[in-house]
Amino acid sequence: MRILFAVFALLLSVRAEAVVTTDYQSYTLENGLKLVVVPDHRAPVVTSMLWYPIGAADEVAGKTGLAHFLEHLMFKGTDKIPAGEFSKRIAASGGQDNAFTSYDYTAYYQKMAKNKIELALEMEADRMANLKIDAEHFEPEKQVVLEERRMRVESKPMRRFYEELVRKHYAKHPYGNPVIGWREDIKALSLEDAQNWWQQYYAPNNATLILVGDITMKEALPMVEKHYAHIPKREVKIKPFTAEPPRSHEIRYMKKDKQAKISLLYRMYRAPSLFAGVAGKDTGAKDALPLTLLAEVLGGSETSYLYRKLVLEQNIADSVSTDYYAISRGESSFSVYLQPKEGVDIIDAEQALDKAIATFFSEGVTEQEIKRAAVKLKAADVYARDSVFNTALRLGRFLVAGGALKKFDDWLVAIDRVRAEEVLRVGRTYLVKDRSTTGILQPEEEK
Amino acid sequence: MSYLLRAIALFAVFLSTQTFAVDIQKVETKIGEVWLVESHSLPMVSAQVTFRAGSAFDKKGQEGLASFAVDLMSEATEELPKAEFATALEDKGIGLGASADKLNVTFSLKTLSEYKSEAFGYLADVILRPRLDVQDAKRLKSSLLAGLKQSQEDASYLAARGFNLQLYGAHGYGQPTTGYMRTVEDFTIENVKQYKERMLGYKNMHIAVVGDIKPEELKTLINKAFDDMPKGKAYKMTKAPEERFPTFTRISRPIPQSHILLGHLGLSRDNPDYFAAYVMNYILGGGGFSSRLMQKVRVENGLAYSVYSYFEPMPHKGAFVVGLQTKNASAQKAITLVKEQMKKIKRKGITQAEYKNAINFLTGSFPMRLDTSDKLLGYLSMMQTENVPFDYLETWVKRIQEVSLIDVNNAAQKYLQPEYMVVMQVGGEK
Repeated sequence: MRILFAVFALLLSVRAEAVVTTDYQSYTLENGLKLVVVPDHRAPVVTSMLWYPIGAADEVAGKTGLAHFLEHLMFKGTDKIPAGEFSKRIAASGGQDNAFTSYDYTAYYQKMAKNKIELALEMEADRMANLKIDAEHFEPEKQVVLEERRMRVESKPMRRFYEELVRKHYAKHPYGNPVIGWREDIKALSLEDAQNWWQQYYAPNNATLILVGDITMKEALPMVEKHYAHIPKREVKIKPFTAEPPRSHEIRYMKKDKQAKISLLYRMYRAPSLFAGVAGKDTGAKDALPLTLLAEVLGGSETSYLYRKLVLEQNIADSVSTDYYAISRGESSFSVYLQPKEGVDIIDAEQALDKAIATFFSEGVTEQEIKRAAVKLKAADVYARDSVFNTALRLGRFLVAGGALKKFDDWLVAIDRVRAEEVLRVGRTYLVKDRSTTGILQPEEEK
Repeated sequence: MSYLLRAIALFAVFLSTQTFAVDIQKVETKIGEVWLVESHSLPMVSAQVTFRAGSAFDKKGQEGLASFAVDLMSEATEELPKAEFATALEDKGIGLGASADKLNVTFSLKTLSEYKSEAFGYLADVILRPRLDVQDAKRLKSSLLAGLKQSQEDASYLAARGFNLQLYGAHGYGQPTTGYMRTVEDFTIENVKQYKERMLGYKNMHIAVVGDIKPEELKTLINKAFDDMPKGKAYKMTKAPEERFPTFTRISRPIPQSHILLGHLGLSRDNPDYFAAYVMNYILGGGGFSSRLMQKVRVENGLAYSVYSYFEPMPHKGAFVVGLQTKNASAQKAITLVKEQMKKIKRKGITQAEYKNAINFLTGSFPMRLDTSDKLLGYLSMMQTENVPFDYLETWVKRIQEVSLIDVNNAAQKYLQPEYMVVMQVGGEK
C-alpha cells in the first residue's frame, strides 16, 4: 500500500490530501491464468481469492441457480481430496475458506497463515483441474441449496418482493433472475448440468488469482507456477448478456403480503455501469462517477437532499435512501428506497418523493455538497483498506467486471474533477420515471 | 501535573514459525487509562468508548432505554443541531455511531488522521454534551418503532428474542436490547438524561484506540475533549441468571422454513474451563465444515444451509446456543439430530484427530482474529470490561494449547445438557 501526498485542485485549495493507492504486482501465466499480488505486511496472513468472471447472469433459461450450485459442488471433492475434505484441511492448517457467487462472477477464497498459503494454492488449482462430483453428494447438496433459498428469500417478505420487482425490471436481461435461482429451476438441475458448467468455464485462462497480504510476487510466483502451470488452457466462450431493450413506460408492481408488517417503496431507474451502457449501448462509462456522487447527495446519508426534505422537514418518512453501484458487467440501476411513517399513505409518500426529486433538479446542488460527498467516499475507501479481505474483494469485483488493474484507483483522483452540473446532467438523463420500475410492498390487512 | 506514563506490554504470540505481536500501550489520562495500539500504515484512527451500561441494566418497564439513549445522544450536540452535526461529520469523512448490547453501550469513531482532533472532540460532545432535542427524539422513536414492527416479520429475530426470554427468565440478560414497542413509545428526554447521569461516568468507561496516532497526542486529545467528564460509578452485573426448566416454544408464522434455537445456560469467560469448553464447541458446532453438527445436519442429511453452536460467555453464567433453519417438515428431525450429537460427544468424547485439528485451527487462525482495526478494538474493549488478564492476547494461543483431550471431554460432560434445553421454533404450518 502506498500513501501518496498529492496536492489536488491547486487553484481551489493548498491543502495536501492523503490518498492511499493499491500497490500491486501482476503476471499472466502461459496458460492464461492472471495473477495479481498486493503485498500488505501488517499481519503474517495471506488471503488467496480465485475469481472466475462468470456467474448467475451467464446461465441460460431454465437453468438458473447453476453457477451458485456449482460453487457448492466445488467442495465435493477430486481424486486427491475427498468430498468435504477441502475445508477441513484448510481449517486443520489454521485457515478459513469459503466461496461466493454473484451475477458477474464466482469466487473462492482462503485466509491462511503466510507459511500455509501453498496448501490453499495447491487445493484450489486441483479442483479447477480435477473436480469430481458424484451422485451421492449431488442430491443432499441440492437440498442444502433449497434450504439456503428458503432462508434467504422465501422466509422474508422484503426479499420475496424484491426478487419479483427485479424480475419485472429486467424482463430480458439475465439480471432479472435471482443469483440463487428460481426454486423450480434448482430442483430440475442435473449432475450433468453441473459438470457441463464446470467444463465450460473453469479453466486457467478464465480465472484471476488475487493474493493479498504478507507475500510478494517473488514469493508467490514459483508456488503458483508449480500448482497451476500444468493445467491446460481451454477454449472458453462467454456470451455477451442479452440486452434489456429500451422502454418508454413505467412498470409498477403492487404487492400485499400477510407476513409484511410495514409499507415500503423501492424504485429502480435504468443506469449505465462503468462497463456497460443502458439497453446494450457501449456508452455511459463517463457517467458512472457522477452517478456515484448523485447517489450520495440525493439520498446517500443524513445530509442528503431527500433525507432532509422527507425525513427532517416534511416528516413523512422514517427512512429514504438512494443507491448506485458502478462496478458490473451489465447495465446498472440507480435505486431509491422509501419507508413512510406510520399513518402516511404510501401513495402520498410516493408523490412527495417525486416532488422532492423534481425540486432537487430545479434547485440544483452546490459544489460544496459535491465535495462533501467526494470526501466521504474517499475516506470510506481508506477505511476499507484496513481489511485485507476487503481489498481482495474490491479488486476482484473490479477486474472481473472488465476493469484494467492500472485503473483501479483512478476514481480517487477523477472524483475531484466532477462538477455539480455534471451530477445534475446525469441525474436528469437517467432518473426518468417513465422508464423506471416502482414496487410497493404493503401489509395485507387482517380480515 | 499529570504526565505520560507509558506502560508497554509486548504481546508476542508464537505461531509455528513466526511471531505475531500486538503492542498495547496504556496511556494515562485525567479520566483513566486509555489503551492504544499504534498502526501507522494507513492514515486513519479508530476508537471505541465502552460503558458497562447495556440492556441488561435497563429497569423493568424501561427495556430498550440504553439503546434508545445512546442513539439519541449521537444525533446532535449542544453546539450543533442534527443537520449541522451530520454535515460537520461528513465534511471530514468521520464515522461516529453508537450501539448497545446486553452488557455494554459503545460509541465508535472512525476518522482520517488529518481530522483526529475534531473527531475526538465530536466523540466527547455526544457523550458529554448531547443535544437531546425533542424533535430528534420524536423522529428517532418513529424510526425505532417501525424497525421493531418490521422485526415481527423476521423469524430469526423472533426466535432470538423468545429464546433469550425463556433461557434467562426475569434476569437482565433476557431483556431485548432494543426493547418493546410499548416501552420505546413511552421514553422521554428525561429518561435519557437520567440514564446518562446514572450510567455514563468515567468510572464506568473504557476507551480503546487503534491506528495512526502517538500516545502523547492521544493523551492530549483525550484530556482536552473529556475535560469535564463526571466521575460516576462503575457498574457490574451482580446477579447470576438462575437455572430454569426446559421448555419448548413454537411461534407460528406463514413461512416455509422454521428458525430454531436451542440451548441452556453456559459459563463465564473467567471460568477456568472456558478454553476447554471453547475447543469442545469448535468440534461440536463452532468449526463450520469441520464441525459434527454441520456434517450430520447439512452434509449428510441436507436439512439446513446453516447450523452452528456457540458459547456466549457472560459474567456469572452465559449461554450455550445451537441455531439452524430447516423446512418446516424437517424441524423435529433436525432437533433430534442436534440432541443426538450433543449426547454422543458427552458419551463417547472426541477423537485424537478431531482434537489435533481443533487445536491447529484455533492456534493457527489466531492472527485472523485481529486482522482489522475493528476486530482488534473488539478484543481490547472486551479485555477492558471483562475479568480477564492483561496478557489475554499474549497467552491466548498458549491457553488453547494447554487444553488436553481429556479436558475437552470433561467440558462436554460438564457444560452440555441435551436433556435440559430451552427450544424455540419460529416457523410455518403445524
